[in-house]
Amino acid sequence: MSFDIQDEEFSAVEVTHSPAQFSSIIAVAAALLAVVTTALVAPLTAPVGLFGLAGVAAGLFVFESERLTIAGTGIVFVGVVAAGFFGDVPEFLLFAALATIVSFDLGSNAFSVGRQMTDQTDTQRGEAVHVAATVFLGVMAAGLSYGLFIVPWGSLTVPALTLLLLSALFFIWSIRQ
Amino acid sequence: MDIETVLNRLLIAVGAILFAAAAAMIAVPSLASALPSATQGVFLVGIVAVLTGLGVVRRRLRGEVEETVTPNPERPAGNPMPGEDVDRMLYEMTHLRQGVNENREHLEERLENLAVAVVRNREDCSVEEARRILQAGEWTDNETAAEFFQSERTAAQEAGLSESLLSGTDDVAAFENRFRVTVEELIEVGDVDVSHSVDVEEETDRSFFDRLLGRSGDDGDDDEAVESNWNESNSTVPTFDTSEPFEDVSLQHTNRWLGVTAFALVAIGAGVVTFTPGLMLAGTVGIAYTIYARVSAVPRTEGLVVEREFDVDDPEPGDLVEVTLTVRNESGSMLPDLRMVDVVPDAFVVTDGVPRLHTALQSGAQAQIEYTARVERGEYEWPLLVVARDFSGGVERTSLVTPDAGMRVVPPLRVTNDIPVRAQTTQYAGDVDTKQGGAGLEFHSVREYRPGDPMNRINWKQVASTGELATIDFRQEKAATVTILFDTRQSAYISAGVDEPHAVDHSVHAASDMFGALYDQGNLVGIAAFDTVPCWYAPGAGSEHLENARVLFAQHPALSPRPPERQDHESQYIDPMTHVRRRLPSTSQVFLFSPLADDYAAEVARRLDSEGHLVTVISPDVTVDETVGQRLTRIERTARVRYLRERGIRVMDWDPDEQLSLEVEKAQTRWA
Repeated sequence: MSFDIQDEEFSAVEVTHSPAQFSSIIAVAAALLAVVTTALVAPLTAPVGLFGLAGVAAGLFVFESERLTIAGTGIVFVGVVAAGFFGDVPEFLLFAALATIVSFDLGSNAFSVGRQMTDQTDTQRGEAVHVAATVFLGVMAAGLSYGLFIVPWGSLTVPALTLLLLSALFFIWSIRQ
Repeated sequence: MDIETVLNRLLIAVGAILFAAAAAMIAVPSLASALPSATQGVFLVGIVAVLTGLGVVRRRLRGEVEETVTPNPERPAGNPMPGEDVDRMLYEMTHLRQGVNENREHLEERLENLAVAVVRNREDCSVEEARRILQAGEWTDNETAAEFFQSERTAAQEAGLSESLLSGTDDVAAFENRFRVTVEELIEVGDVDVSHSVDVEEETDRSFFDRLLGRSGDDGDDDEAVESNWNESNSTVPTFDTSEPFEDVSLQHTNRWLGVTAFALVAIGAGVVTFTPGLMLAGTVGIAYTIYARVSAVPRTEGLVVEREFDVDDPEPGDLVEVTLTVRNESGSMLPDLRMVDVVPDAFVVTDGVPRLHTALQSGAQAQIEYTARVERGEYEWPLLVVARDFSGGVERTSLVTPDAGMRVVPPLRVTNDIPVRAQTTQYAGDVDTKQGGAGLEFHSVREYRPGDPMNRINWKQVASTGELATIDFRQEKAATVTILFDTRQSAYISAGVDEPHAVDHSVHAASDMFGALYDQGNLVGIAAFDTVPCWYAPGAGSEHLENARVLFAQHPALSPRPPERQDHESQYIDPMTHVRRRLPSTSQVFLFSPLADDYAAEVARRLDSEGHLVTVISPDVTVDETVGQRLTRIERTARVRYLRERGIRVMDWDPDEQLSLEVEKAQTRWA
């Protein structure tokens, strides 16, 4: 009858669900890159970006709120767009937009992994593959766009380009989920 | 034609028009300057794009990402603690203002019955006398407590009118206070063991949940991280009972990229409006990710091969078993995002390691999950929950993969030490000393010689001194029939804390050891439980009997570590003791295992006793004394123990933190 089932050392493990660490760090780093890049383009917009960055970081590490993180990414992007008004440096703007979207994706992935797994889970490999896929796609897309951008197209005016891009968007939307 | 098709065609049409316009502008560069309104038109398009983008942002902020919510199988099930119902009633009354009258009436009645029992036990008087003492308020010096049972029902109450309606809401708080004071006074009067006393006045500020979880007011925040999830609660996977080796649960779009289009729309729109080519360029990245989100492939999780291994072949309840899972991808394609949770059975508790893994598996690659779990009796086969996504995470497929590796945990029926069996026996020889004289070891009496008495029992000394033959009788040693009876109703599944085993677990663990000891003493031992699932194993002997009992301890649904409400059998209400009473042999003793959480259990013991069975109650004490409800249940249980002892029923009041063998020894000296 010596049934010692409640020894302290045999107690259950901790189970906590905060955003995944690795993705969170990369998400904040990407947002920081975006802010720094926009600050180089137009220092005036830096406060907006920093405000958004604070939102991203606080959402991931302090309040653990996905909404706050997404809102933070949105504000960082507002900073990027504002920077575009003040200084038209296509390379920097392209890079800042890429970094912002990467931050958006990794932030939401950090929450998703945190919810479905736990803080104690080994998530390194899964997260790393996701980061790599997202960054790879972004870099490829940005490279392609930039390549098309620097080739002189002659008759491709801004209005024509706009219509072209928007038509592309509509076609994408029509792809059935 | 449904609305989606219409919308789709509309999108394609708008896209085609825009594309045609763009193509026209590229083909005829002069078109833009020829049409004076073209610039304004494009400007307008830009504004619309920005606005649409903001709309997408709004949808994202409002919308929910759809994903499988995984369970938390690591944690033990949160069993209710004794007294939770009382605390809940008080909480409802004071905080939610619900059921004020019903709860109040119930609590008053419960407290009054308890007070009668306590006073009757102390004064050693009849129930009527105890009621009179309560009515007169003579039982205590505390005025508030004394008044509790004195309050005469007013005319309004008699007419069924709510008292709180008449005298305002302060009355509820006053009632709660009086209730607390009375409980404390009953602890005092009834001489009930509690580890600390509560200052009634300061008690009221703690929140219901703090009280419910047994926390004191100041250490509330460091416990937040600890969650107690039943496997299925909060999870979107409805059930884990699966016999299929592979089962698809869901396939869904996660919507996690919802909002990424906004980056494209806002950037392009802003770029158009301000004529900033850089912003339009930036917007293309958003378009690229929008495409990425749409292009999806269903992960081929059916190609996963899962193997589960245990480091022990035949574990016993309470053993720590190391579990190793090997997951191999034989689907022929890469699985870029795998989130796996081993759905450890409810009764198990993970003590080390993590039964989860988030990884990516190349075709042919494998990964391992290792953890240690404390196992519990029963037969188990459990699945691995696999949540797989494609590269972008846009599609999520949830499946259950059940490896062919079952685990059977059977209690060993160890013989530890002797169990005091009472003197109700059968005709078979055994270990129990009876009051009858005959062959045996312990001296019983000397009687006249009768022809046929064996020579070795003749009292030769007497023959030598008086010349008359006399025979010595020893106490006969007989075997007893013992039925181990479990109280496994829902109300017995209570535990002293979130991480603690519940009373039924304590009972079955103790009983499986006790079974071995009783059997070893040569008794006929049977098992029964009163529950909605009939459980009856007639007393018997032999090694086959022992083996069957082991299996029964491990696998009978009535003795399951899962409470009845969480099992899926259909229940109908019948007196749960009916089948036991019908089958119980008339000469059988009964060892009743019950936490004595309600009057029914005590009543069962009393009725069995009055039917001529000698009853020994082994009661694991899982009551605690933090909240008023918990303190109340402790007094109630103490009152029940005293009630039974008064009637000559043996009660082993067992604190599960102590070894039962020590408790048995203590009890043995008391009963000897």
